[in-house]
Amino acid sequence: MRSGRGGQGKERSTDDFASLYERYAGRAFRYARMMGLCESDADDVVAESFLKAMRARASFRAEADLSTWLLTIVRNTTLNLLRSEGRRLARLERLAGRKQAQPAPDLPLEQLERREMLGAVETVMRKLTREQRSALSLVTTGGLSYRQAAQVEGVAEAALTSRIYRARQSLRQYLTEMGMLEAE
Amino acid sequence: MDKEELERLISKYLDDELEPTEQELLREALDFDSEARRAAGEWERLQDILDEYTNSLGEPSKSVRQRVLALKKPRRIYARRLRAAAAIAALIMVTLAIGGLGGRLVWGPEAGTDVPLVDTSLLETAVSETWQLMPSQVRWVALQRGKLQMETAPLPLSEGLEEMYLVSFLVQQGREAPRPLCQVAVLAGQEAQLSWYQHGEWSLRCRPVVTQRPGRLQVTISFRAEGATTGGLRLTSEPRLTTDGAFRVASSRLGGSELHIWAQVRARRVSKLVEQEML
Repeated sequence: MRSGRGGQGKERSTDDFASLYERYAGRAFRYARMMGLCESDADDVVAESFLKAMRARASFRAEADLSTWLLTIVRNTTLNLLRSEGRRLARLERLAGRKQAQPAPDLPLEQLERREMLGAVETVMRKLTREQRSALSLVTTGGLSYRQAAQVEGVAEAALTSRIYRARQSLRQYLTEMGMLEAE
Repeated sequence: MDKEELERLISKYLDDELEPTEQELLREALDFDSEARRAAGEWERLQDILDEYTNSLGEPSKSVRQRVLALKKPRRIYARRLRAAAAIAALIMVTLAIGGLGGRLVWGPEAGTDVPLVDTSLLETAVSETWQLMPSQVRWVALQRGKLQMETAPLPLSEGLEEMYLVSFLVQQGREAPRPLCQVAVLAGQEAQLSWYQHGEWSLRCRPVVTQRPGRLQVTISFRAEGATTGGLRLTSEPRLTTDGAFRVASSRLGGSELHIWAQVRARRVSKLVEQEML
């Protein structure tokens, strides 16, 4: 809760940081998840990213775009985590273990279909290149424009447009092959 | 317009990224080409699926929120708890000063009692996890009088996180529950600063050194306790463990009241960044 007192720079800064978290934590988490991290790893990415953001907030330039700046930190943190081969293998093992451990769900047909469809998307996501996934995720989960996402990725806007298009095309192709995608 | 160009425009359209000229091109294609309309429907369906998938990815856990929003607090919490610990220590000093004059000093394992230890984690905050090393995980060795060594069984280390160890000293009077006396935080592979505590007629000095061998931890505590009058506190001659894994390092009997000093090591996992914030 805000104190309402003027001139309390530190408190205002804390409030600002809290509102920054409320605004971007969900996007950061979903970006990390879409990049293939499990929930606990995505939690770590969020915590680590906001730690970095807090420590680097002095270097944030007012003219820069806040969402671009923060999602750049999230992206780099996620990629660092993904680059760790041991983590990646462990994660896949956990994933495999979890899937095997899941009991057959006793759900209505509609929910089963939805679950199956989401599972298919996740499977297909893993077939995309890391660059494609990141670009698509920045736009869909991060809410960035192509220009902003291109800044985060450090590529030209045309290159980013191409990555997103290729990603969607691959998704469409895979989902069609799996019988999950039909125009309504 | 070829199929690939059409799809590229539809893809951009779904993200509201079309240039005015591209909008015009797409509108014309959709007006006159049924195949283009079918393709657009398929891409929109794909977008719906993507949106649904994105929504299903969830939110960060509440504990992450607590961790992040507590970031500004560690120093303040530390200072506040340190003041509380100092107040308790001062109370003990007064008690000792009143009841301890002319007391007789004893040492040895016979006076030890197994009692649960109070939470002494002065540095505990929401930003990390702290766990107590169980007696089965630790082995205390009195290297010589005034020098202890504790070695742990192989610990599950967490990648990406750093271990920090809190060496605590607790004071126990009679059969009361032990109270926190002081605590030294030390990072793996480093030597803590010499800590010196004066309590009435006796003083306590310690310098924990933590070395990390593959998968296990070794803490060496150089320890000195001495009193101004009757020889002060005496070091115990053999390890005495409580069920909480604490080791009694010194005992005395002052004014008919037994007093014991216990050492305890807690491990704590923190991220490198939090660790730098706190130390």
